[in-house]
Amino acid sequence: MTHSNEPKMETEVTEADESIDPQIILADERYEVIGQILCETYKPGQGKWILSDMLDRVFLHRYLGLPIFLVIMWAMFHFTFEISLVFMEMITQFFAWLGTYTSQIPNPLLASLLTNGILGGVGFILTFIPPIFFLYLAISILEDTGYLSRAAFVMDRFMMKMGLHGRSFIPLLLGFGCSVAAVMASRTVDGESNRLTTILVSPLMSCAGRLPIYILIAGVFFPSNAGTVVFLMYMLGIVMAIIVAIIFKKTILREESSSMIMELSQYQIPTAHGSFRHMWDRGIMFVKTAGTYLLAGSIIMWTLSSFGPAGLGVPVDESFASILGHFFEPIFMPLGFSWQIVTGLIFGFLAKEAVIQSLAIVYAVGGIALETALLGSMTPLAAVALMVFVLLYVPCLATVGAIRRETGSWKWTGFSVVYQLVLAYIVALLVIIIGGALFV
Amino acid sequence: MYREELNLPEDSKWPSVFTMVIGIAYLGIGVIQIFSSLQLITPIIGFSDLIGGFLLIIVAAVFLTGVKPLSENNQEGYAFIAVGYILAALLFGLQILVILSNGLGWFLRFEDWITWDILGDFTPSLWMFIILMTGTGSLWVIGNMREKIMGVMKEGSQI
Repeated sequence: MTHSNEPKMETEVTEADESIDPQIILADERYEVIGQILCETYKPGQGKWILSDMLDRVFLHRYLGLPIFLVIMWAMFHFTFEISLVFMEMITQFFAWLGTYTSQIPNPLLASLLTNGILGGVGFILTFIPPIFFLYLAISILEDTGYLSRAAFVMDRFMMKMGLHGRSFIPLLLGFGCSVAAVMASRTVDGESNRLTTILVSPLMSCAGRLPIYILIAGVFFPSNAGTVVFLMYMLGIVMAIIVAIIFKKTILREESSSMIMELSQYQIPTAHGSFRHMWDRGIMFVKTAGTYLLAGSIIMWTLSSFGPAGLGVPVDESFASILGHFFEPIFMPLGFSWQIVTGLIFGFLAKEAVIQSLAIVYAVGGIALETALLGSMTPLAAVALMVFVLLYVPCLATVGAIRRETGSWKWTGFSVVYQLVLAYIVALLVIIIGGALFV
Repeated sequence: MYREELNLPEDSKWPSVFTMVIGIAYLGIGVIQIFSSLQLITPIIGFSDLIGGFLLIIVAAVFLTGVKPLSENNQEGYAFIAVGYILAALLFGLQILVILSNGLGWFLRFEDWITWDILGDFTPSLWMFIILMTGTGSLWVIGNMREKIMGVMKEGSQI
């Protein structure tokens, strides 16, 4: 069967088009062909234009789409941080109350293990259950409304201009929850080079495991703007992921980007059951991690902080943890990180939550409150550098494993770990240098 | 296309004027909030958040973008009003939750909340939405009354 007006792909490129990205021209042509096909086959009926189409006119607007996305992201992190503060305080008070009993146990070794090791470590990390659950709740609501897929669509335009694959933004958004999920979601990205780029930059997105560090540091050093600081860290993650992806695409992973065609579902009003169920399913993973790996980690950290070459009960400055921290401290001296922070960062290789858990234990064994110790041991600028370093260096061992599985290559896995470490160090150092020049 | 489905008004003149007033109000308050947070003017209670000021300007931009299509009686302008309301409601709802959680901390006498004052949380995003909803409600009532009066007058003239 032949059609008299068959859709034809325009291939001629005018001089005026030469300045436009060929991918955008290709996308336009594709949509034109789709439009022509639809003209022949699709008959619009009554009532096809609905509220969902109406909202998309604005949410996907050429100029307003991105600012609206930023408003929604800010609202998400403001909600996560501000609302959870009071619930975090409740959990803190509960563990403080438990600590008054465990510290009175006659056996000082057991009392220290329970109070400083387990309650100071796992108990401390459990105080971050509310923000993590609230973050997952917010992500679930955004997913269930259908906005998250629009966010990918909004970002597609910018990512295409930067030579990236629009679909890459979906794994990046998933990275807000967990880097492992983000790495695995990169399977949906077309093209070997695009997929590899997405895998390599996904860990730069702030996962939920980093949230406790931001909340702690921002709360201690920038109490009046803590929510905004947390939001800015998440935005920095997106910006860094895009910059690094551009660098990769222009150097080691050259490949033509292809345009994204995705079906946008209608907007839905999320159900409380669905959103809370998603929140619970994801949040409970954090609790399980705290009850297993982080519990084991806190016992190891307590042991390293309480034991030293001289035996049990040595001052924390003479403990194995101190020796470990002091060994790497010179590398981090330009960033203004003390040996305690360096020790925390080393344990952060296992899981990001372990950074502040380790800090809490080291300072608890040393008999100093964490907030007081942080304020006394680092400047606000160093605190920002610490958040940046935590944002950009290897998220956790599980993510490294996921990268190994997805790339099937130790070479790329090693490259991922090394480049993130170098990037984290350089950007943190830039924060110190530029911040020092501007604000000190 | 939307009008029949979504029961939108036939004449977009007054909605466009109302949208412009809302947009300018959000813009003005957003700018004041930025100036206040940067201490370029005398600091005002509740106006301390710099980012909050920028958010109000984005809400204003959404409303103001809808003015032109509405003034041309283009139904797409209503989409901007709808999204403007959604964003304003989002910021309002968030601030209500902040007040409730802070109120809970104050009620439970937690250390960090002892000096908490509700006025500090009474931000422009909160009261602007209240004004917005009051204005919308008033216009809706006036519009309904006008339609009834016009209907009665038409019936009277027919008799």
